[in-house]
Amino acid sequence: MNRLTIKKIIETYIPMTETAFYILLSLSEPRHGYGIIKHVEEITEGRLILGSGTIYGTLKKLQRDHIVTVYADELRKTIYEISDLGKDLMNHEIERLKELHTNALKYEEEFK
Amino acid sequence: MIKKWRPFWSYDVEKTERWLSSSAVDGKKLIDVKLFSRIFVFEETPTEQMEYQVIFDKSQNNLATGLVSSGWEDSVVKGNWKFVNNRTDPIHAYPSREGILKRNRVHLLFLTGLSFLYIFQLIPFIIAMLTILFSPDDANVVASPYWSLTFLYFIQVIGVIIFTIYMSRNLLAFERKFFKTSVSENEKKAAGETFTKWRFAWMYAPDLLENWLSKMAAEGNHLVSVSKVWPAFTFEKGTPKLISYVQDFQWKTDPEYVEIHKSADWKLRFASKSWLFKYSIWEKEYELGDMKPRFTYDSTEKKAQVRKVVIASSILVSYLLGILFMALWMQFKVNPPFNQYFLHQILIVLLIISSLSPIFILTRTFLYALRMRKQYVG
Repeated sequence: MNRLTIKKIIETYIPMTETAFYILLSLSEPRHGYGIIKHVEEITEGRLILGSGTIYGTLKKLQRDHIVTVYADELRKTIYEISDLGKDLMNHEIERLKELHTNALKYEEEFK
Repeated sequence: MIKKWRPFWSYDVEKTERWLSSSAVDGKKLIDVKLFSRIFVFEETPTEQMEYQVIFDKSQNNLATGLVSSGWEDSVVKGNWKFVNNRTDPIHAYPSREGILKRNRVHLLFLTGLSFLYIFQLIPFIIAMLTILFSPDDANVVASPYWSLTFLYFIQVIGVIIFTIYMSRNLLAFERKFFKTSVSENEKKAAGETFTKWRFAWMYAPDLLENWLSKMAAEGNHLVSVSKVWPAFTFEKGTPKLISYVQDFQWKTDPEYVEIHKSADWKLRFASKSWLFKYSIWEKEYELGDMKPRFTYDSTEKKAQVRKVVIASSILVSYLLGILFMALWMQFKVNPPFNQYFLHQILIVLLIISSLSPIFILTRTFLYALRMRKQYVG
């Protein structure tokens, strides 16, 4: 994957939607589609419930842009895995979120 | 070094994979594949037990780590193709078949188009040949050395047509094998009393259909099946239940579409047969007090879906109207309006009446868009 593609992907995906971010975040290990829904529900303590249509649409887009790759388990069920490009993208987004977080903490008093 | 020519290897990859695996057992290891000349190059090695798989991946990414950890390794990588092998037993993960399925589908589409053209060419040729054969008196055959070219051309034509048939059968079997659970609908057998209700143009107002089906379920009438031909819905009498229905539309779908929804406990009750313009109906039961399950809870996605349905319906309406106007125009062109036979007049009246159906669809679509607008804006 060349540098130009990475730049283009970063431009289109960052800032990420909450849905895309949590889907990619749950791909810290390879999972089935339904596994992603359950995991996101778990780590957001039930706040974010993703519909299967949302998961399908987002994963399709991520797959098309080579951010996510797929393979199959013994039962021929699809497993999703984040690609190297996807990891790059997540690192960029996490950097941005860290900055947001630091600034939020720094200035939150002013709004109280 | 051993070279083997396999011109059609990519149209039956399973056969190619079996061949590569058995070659390895015979002491021939794959070292190169020439994509253009379709030659496989082997070198002689000690006999080895290993399974081969072929991957088509446009991203040209490295092999997924999940595949590497279950023993797969690159054997030959050329362009979008990867030939991978695995020496472990049993194998816990396999490469996806989707890339190959998609690629071969595109090739098949092209071949089918070509075959149709060829068939139109072939029919007059066959008729001419049969005429020569059965009534030589009517035919006037001019001797020419180019006849052999004509025959060669038509042998090629027949070859392409036969290959198209072979390939479409192969591809269908391939899809059934690897994506079987995701292609078919959830069969539901009615145990009790059933009845059928008609619902014209249901596809163009998803919200009305969903509400109607949910209301029916709440009254104890559960959807069993939807006819593929008629707009007829068969219900079974039972106990009242809370069921959420989703009527979905996609331009085209892939096996993952059905797989993901099914894994989230949705049951597929209807899916249109065409490979483009996919309409489907899904159901999921829920408990009182629970959130009503939907495909998406995101307002941007909901709006995008409405837009998609409206565009699809508009395309359909314009297509129907286009055909209709052409038919009317041809009628008037051939026979001016005041100078027509009774039969022609009936025909025109029929044509005008049939223009009501696109207008009906258009109205339903427009009202649907209006309702959705109110719902999301208001």
